[in-house]
This record gives sequence, C-alpha cells and structure tokens, in this order.
Amino acid sequence: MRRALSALLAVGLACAAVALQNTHWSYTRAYGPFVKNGRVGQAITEPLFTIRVEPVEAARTILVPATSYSKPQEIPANGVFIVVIATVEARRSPIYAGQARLHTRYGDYSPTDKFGGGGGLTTPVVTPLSYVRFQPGMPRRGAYVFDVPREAVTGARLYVSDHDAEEAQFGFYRNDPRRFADEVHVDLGLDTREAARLTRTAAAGYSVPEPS
Amino acid sequence: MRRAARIVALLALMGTAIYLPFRQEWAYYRKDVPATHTRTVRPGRPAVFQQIRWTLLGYGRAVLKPGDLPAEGIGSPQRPGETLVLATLRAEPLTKNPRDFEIDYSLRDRAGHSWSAFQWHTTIIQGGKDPAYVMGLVPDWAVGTFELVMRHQHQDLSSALGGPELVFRR
Repeated sequence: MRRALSALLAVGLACAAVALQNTHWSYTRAYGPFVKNGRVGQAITEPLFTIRVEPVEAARTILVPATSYSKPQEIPANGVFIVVIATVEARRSPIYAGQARLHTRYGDYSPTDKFGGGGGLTTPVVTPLSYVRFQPGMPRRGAYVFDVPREAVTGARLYVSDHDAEEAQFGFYRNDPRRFADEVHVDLGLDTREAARLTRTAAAGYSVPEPS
Repeated sequence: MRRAARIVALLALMGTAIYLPFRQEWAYYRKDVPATHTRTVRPGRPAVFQQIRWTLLGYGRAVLKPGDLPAEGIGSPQRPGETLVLATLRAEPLTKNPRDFEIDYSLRDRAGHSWSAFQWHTTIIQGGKDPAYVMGLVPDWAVGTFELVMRHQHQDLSSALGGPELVFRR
C-alpha cells in the first residue's frame, strides 16, 4: 500500500513538474514595466517618485519666448499640441521621469521634438519635464507636450516611467528603457465630449510653463 | 507534522532560490546596487579615495558672490525651501602625474534620501593650498543632516553600481 502511494506521489510530482514547464509569468509580469493606474488630480506614488497630473490643455501653436540668439516664434502643431502639466517629486534618490508617452488608440506618441534638445546635443527652447532631474524633497511642476492628430485625443492616457533612456546607453541590458521600470498610467479624462471640446478650443500662442 | 514542516521548508528554499537571482538583476536595472564596501570617516580625519587624501573641513550653506554660478549640473534658480550646500575638503594628491578624477559625488541623509553633488571651483594639484568644494542642492530639512558620499563613477557617467564608497560623517 505504502509503495503504491509512493509511486503515485512520484508520478504526481513528475506531472506537476511537466505542467510547471508550461506555466510561467508573462514577460511584462516578470520584467515590467510595473504599472500603477491613476487619474487626473490624484497623487500617484511609485517606489521612486510621486506624480500628480493637472487637467489637460491643448494648443494649436506654442509661443517660444525670445532668447539672446533668437526672436520669439510660434511653433504650429501638425495636429494638436496636448499639454500635460504635472508635478513630479523623487522619493529617495535623484531620478529622471524621462519616458513619457501619450497612449492613444492610434499608438503611443513621444513628447514632441519641435522644441529642440534631440539627442541631448542642444538645449530645448522650452524645457519639458522629460529633461528634469528630480530629487527628494524638491518637487518640480512642468509640462509634457505631445503633438498628435486631433482624432487621437479621445481616450488618450499619459504613461510615465521612472526609467530614463538618456543616461543608460551602455552596459548589460541597459539600453532597454522600459525593463524593470515602474510606470504610471494616468487617465486624462478625455472622453469623446471632452476631447472634442479640448481640440475645438485649442489655444493659439500657448506658453508652456518652465519647470518650477 | 515534521514531514509538513520539511515540505514547507523545501518550498521556501525553492522560492528563495528562484527569487534571489531575479532580485539582484532587478536591483541592477534600477541602479540601486548598494556599495559593496562602505568606509566612514569622522570630520577632520583623512581618508584616501582615488589616490587623493581627503579631509573634511566642514559642511555648510553655499554663499554665491554676485555673478557667481552654482556648480554645473545644479539647476538654477533654486526654489523656496531649497538650499545650496557645500562640503569643504582638503585634497592632497598622492601621485605626481595629473589625471582625471572619476568620482561620483552625492549627498545623503541617514533616512535614505540622496541628492546629486558636484565639484565646484576646485582644482586639485600637488602642493595646492586651496580647499576643494563639493556643492549640492537639498531641501531645507536636509541642511543639517546631509553627508558627503564618494563612489567610483560609472564609465557612462550614470549612477555608481556597487563598488566601495566613502562617507564623510558630520
């Protein structure tokens, strides 16, 4: 009797081992990004940073102030500029929240490169939050600006990750900007009616706030 | 009872064995790899790091003269509730040959917060009399508690991963 039970147990364990071979976490569950959802006005806390997003604004053109080398200029959107103003604070150590994307039904959009600063070779004429290094106890309020087709605004959500790609160009796996990152998905409250209102009333000559 | 305990122990062991390598990799990705060796040094006592003998002379607030700028890397202007701070050190090179320093400076408090820090108005030469300065921007509540930390800088100038660190105690 005991021998039969042992044999049964052995067969059971073997079956379990085979079954476990086919049972594994999905890539995203194992390697991230580890997502936390939130909405406009809510402080969303990740292990390394806290973010609070304000109601979204839209612009047809953005006013770039004059500098020592250039006159003021108005930069037009290809579609419409979606301006997401947020306050970000690091919780423990300095971080970038450089991986911001606007997730839409047409796909994900990166912050516009119309202000320069691409590849870190130049300084952008307007500093988006993607360029800010956040430190504990020193929150910064600024903007992520996206240029998207008007039809993409409905249902758009903001994705912000604490993993920066700018400083991680070398080394083992370090080029993968999203692996093991914490990511916040913010519902911007852009239902069909709100998206229509936003695109209809998009401002001309909008001044993007510098991080403050 | 004893058999059940054994099974539970075995399962716990398996879980730990699976989890530990993953945890280490995760830590690497998140640049949270702690120093493998930490040395602390009291104020006024010398310590050698990257072939330089460092002596902490003091911590304090940084005072910028008119026209003076904060260290490169510190955003300006500073906001209310934020303070520029300075660590003043004596730095004596132990080698005659000029060389590039690859030190990752940071400021930390004992609650686990850390802030970026940068060399400021500092040239380290043998026989030089001028002190070395490391500047950082911290919230007001950290002005009396921060401590300077030195680690070896990563080749791509990103945060240090592992390695030794030197902490200058208050």
